[in-house]
Amino acid sequence: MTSPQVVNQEPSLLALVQLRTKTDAEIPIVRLLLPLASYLLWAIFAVAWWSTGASGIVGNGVSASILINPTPLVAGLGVLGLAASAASSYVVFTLVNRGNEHSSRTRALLLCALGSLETRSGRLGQQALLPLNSAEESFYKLVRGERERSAVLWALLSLIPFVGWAFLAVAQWRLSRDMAKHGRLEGLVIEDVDRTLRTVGTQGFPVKHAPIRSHDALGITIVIVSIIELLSSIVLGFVGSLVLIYLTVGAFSLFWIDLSITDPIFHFHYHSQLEADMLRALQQAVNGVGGVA
Amino acid sequence: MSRNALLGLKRIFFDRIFQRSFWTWRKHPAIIIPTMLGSALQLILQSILTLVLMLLLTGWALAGSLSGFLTEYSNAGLFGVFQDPAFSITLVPVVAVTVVALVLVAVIGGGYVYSAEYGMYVDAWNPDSLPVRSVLENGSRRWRPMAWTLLLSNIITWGPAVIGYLLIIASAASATSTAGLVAVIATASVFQPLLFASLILAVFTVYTYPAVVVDRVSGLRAIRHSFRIASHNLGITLTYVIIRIIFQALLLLVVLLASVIGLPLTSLITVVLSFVLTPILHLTKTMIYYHAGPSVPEMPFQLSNPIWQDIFRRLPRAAWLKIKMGLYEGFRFVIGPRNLPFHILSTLAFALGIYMGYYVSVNGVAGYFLSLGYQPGHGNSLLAQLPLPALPALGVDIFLNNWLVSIATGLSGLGFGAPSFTTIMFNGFILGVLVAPQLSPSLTMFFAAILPHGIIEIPSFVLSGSVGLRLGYAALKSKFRRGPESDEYLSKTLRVAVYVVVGLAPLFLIAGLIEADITPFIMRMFGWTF
Repeated sequence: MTSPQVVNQEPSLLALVQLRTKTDAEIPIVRLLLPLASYLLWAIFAVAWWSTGASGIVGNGVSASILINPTPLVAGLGVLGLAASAASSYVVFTLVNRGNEHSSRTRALLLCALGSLETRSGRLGQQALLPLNSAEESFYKLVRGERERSAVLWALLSLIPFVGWAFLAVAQWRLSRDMAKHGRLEGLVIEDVDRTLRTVGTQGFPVKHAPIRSHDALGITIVIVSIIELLSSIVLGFVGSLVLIYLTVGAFSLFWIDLSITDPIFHFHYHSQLEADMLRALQQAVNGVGGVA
Repeated sequence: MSRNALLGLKRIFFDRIFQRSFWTWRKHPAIIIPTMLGSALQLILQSILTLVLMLLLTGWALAGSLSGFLTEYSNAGLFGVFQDPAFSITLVPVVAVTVVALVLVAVIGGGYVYSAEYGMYVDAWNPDSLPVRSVLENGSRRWRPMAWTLLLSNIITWGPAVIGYLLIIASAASATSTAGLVAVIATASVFQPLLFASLILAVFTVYTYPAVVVDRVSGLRAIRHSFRIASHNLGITLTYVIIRIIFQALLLLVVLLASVIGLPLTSLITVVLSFVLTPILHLTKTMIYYHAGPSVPEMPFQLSNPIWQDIFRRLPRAAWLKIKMGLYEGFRFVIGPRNLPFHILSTLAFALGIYMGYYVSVNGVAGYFLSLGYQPGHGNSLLAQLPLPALPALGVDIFLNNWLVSIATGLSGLGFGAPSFTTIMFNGFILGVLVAPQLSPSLTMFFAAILPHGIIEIPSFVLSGSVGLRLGYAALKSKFRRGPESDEYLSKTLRVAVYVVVGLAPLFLIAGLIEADITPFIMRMFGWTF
């Protein structure tokens, strides 16, 4: 049996920095094929289901017999579709989980850095207390402002046939908004930590901004297009509009998964540089202040 | 602002708890034992019914009134039988006693099982080792408060839905008139909000059982604690509830779709639900409750090893090691001279069951089956309908079903051995019913249908009964000869029982594959049709 813990209860700053390679992992773009396969399989399922008698749904209410007793071909496609959806939901899990783990590690790292500065606050001098206090205030806002979404929940929701695509789009939207917020809030803490370190005479570390886009426009577009398509049921019929919504939301979601895979990469690269610099600057502060005292 | 001030921002992260629950389940496989005991409890409840059924049928057969009963049952149904004074004089008190017994066993047994289950989750969260003994310790520690809480919680949660359902049944009885029809429609419209109320209550009473073991409260206080934690942590509670529902719904969908293409997956999904999902989700629920406590700090940031890699690479090997260990323990159990009385008793139960089954069959039950359309010499037509590639899947399904029954048979012995004895007897009873000359054209045909897989399956069942009887003996010893030695013997026997039933898996797999793939061919060779 393996132990679940990679880090101890109180991980050190160095250990947290070393965990970056695990939390900020790049997801191979080839994994986009999994949701694509799921999207295509469910589309084929819908066509097969429709052609084997589900068309009776239109205007006549849901045909219970076709829902309860699908043909073996339709059922086989359903099983394949579920398997593909499971693979697709794994991608959703990976994306949401990566966002959670990155945020959690950043928070733990910053808390550790602030703790390290705070324990030496007496030796750092009065002039360091103001930026340190500000850093703690910003950190408090970061902790309050960030919410971890359950990767397990969103992965399972996106596994639901057809409806899952809507959940997938919502998951991507929330993820991109959370990541954007994370980038904004952590930037404030990092600036304050840098200011604190500069106040005590170290060189600090270069702070650049690596914002992550929230793609609100894309989300709003999906909602508007879906509403228009729903209204088109007057022309296409209810099922026709549902098919259109599935195709549109699915296509948009696939595009969004691609964005979610690639968007944070720049932010993660920025972290790789920032964390090394921050670690060095903190070490310098400890040694430097120690020497002065 | 100090770091301590940040502690006021304690949050509970579902994924962290869920992932740690998975690893706790991997680290301490013993936490599935209470789930096994749960299925054993179901078997105990069934065994009460089967025992009553067997005794009633045998009693009527001895009195020469079995044929009359079956004729009355065919013509007038169950209500008709109850209205006939010749049978109601026996049936009414027997049914009343049986219902009381079922409720008592369900509540007391449920209290023991849940006390063991949730107590073990709390024990398993942190330590490195979790002995099998802890099942018994936790079970006996808080079974009374847990049983009381179980009863009260179910009444409060499902009471509204049950009331609505009873109203529908009551109004349906008088649906012959217009006023009656209006009453049915009215009660049907009342049922929906009552059901909805029950479902809402189920969300808020979700932490009732963890409350009993974590906060050591019971009854209404446990329910109040659950309401408080659920309402203060509504997001994570709903996350848990939704995840649970989706898992079960998706698994049900898989079973339904797979059954259409001839893949029977019911037993596989039952195994996944019973031994994997239920312990992990219940552990998650318990730990959500635990971490919601004001004195418990926020879970620190931890990275979990990837679960999927473990499931596909390490878990099968870990499971095989346990089965190997079980085979070894099973072999030792079979050849152990001290276990001979249990082997004999289990075999006797099976033989007695065959005799009773045969007796009631020739005295009326066989004729009843023939009147229902049973054709001697005609096998299950489902086997002929299934495509050839689906047969191994059917074999695996049979294997898992039989294995689950044998697990329940073995562990239900904790109820002082009687449930194991009854279950083995009932299996013999079924065989005895079928062996009657009216139902089996010839003994050769009967053996052709039973022996190919039965030669492995029947001894395996008898063995699970045997280990159940030893467990029952250990439970009796612990009850009436109190002391550390008896407790130690009971713990040891429970450990042996778990390993023996786990070790039976390969035998049931072979028997299941033979039953699905080979037995039908042999049956055809001996004149069976499908």
